Amino acid sequence: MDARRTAFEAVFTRHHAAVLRFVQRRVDDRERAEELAMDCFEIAWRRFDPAAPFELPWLLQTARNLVGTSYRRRDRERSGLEQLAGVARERGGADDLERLEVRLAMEALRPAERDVLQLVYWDGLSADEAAEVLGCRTSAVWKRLSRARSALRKRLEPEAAASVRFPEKGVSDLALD
Amino acid sequence: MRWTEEELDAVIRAADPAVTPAGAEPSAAARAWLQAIMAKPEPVPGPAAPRRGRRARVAGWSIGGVIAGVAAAVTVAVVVTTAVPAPAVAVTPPPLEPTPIATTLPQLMAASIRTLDAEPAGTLARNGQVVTWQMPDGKDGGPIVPERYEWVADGDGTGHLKVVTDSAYSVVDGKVTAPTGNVPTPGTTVAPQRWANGRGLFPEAPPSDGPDALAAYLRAHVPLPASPDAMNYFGALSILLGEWTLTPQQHADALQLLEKTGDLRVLGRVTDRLGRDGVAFSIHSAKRPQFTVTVVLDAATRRIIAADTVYAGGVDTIEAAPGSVVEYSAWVAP
Repeated sequence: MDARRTAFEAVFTRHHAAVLRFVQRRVDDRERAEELAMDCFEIAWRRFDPAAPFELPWLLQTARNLVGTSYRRRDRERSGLEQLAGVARERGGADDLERLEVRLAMEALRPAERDVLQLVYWDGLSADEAAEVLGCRTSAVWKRLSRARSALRKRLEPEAAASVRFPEKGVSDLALD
Repeated sequence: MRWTEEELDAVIRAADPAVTPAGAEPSAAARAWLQAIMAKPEPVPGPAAPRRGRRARVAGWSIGGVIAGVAAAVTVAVVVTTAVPAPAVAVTPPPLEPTPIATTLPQLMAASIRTLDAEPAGTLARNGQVVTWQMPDGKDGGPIVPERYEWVADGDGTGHLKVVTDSAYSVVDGKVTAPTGNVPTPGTTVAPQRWANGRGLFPEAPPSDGPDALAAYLRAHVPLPASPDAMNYFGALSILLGEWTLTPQQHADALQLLEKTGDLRVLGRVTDRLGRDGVAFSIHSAKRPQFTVTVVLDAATRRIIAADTVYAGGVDTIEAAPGSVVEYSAWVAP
């Protein structure tokens, strides 16, 4: 069992920050976020099998379920972001304003688009890993990512509507799985 | 403000509100917490991941409580149907119906490659046209409206995709019928589809130097996994076929590449969704067992003319029965 503990401690060291960051984006109370992150690792410990170790997507999927229905941050955050963006515009803090406006634009996206953007850009997951967290096909992740980027760009750059990196639908994208 | 793709990537990343730095070591408090967790009575290991969604809950209940073999699975289906509101199942096109043939895969491939090699050289052309459909996310069905994608050269070295609707249809009792409800007139423009660089995914001409050169070319243009299998390669090939009309030799290279990298099985003679006679084989992937791909070769020329992606089950969020076609493509001469 020592080997199991050692293996799990390695998983914990490798992924604790990523799990905590994932929860912090969804829960505004920092102590509550830390509790939820540790709840996630407690579940992981109960299920941990060194012969079939899970990695970050499994942990984030678990964290996502834990945050689940108690997640009520979005409306408050969106309201707060709008106020902050207004203040930043008046005071001219360009970098802060840009970050706030990007976050505000992301909050306005459809949940499926917002989720995939966050998993890929903020959690640093590959399309395969994001698909595991979201429970969808990798091809769906690519499509959602393309749509999300396009939708975000439209919100941030209303004049730039037509240019997208990938066609939104069409030929098989199993290559990307 | 107009951001480049890279600048957009950067501003999205910079907007991350998480306060803990990426890659930070766990704090001493977190490590102590972990030790407390691990000091609890030893658990029984179990690798199953938490599952989400309506289908996941139904599956978990039925598998855990009832299933004991194939016969029981039938019982479970009945129980689920009567005790739990049935999940919406998407309307999907009927699967192709192959007529078995007495041919092994090596025989089929060898005969197809001989046929392709015997054809006149043909001309590689920077164009492509495909009629395609994908099961939409989050919808329960309705008429099936395929789309026709055409790569259109703009005359300055760039191009764009022209996307219009194709003939819609409904599926009733597994059979194609006239569409019900409001459907767009065939030829209705779907949306402007313009690549950021105007050059598509495959701006350089594909090689004609054998399957290895083709594999290298595909890997250079599409973000394939580190060790692509035939299903990965076919996904990339299907995109290529939408941008280029390949020569018979290149089709032969593609068949050799698929044969050497994957689990292929002969299905038999089929009629594809555009009414063309063909011979079909399937691609299976150990990495992606949730799907198989049915590839159709033209019966006479043995060029790749169509493909179906068939759902084999195991994905909670796909609300279609195993065996359903969740995507198809039929390539046509521009």
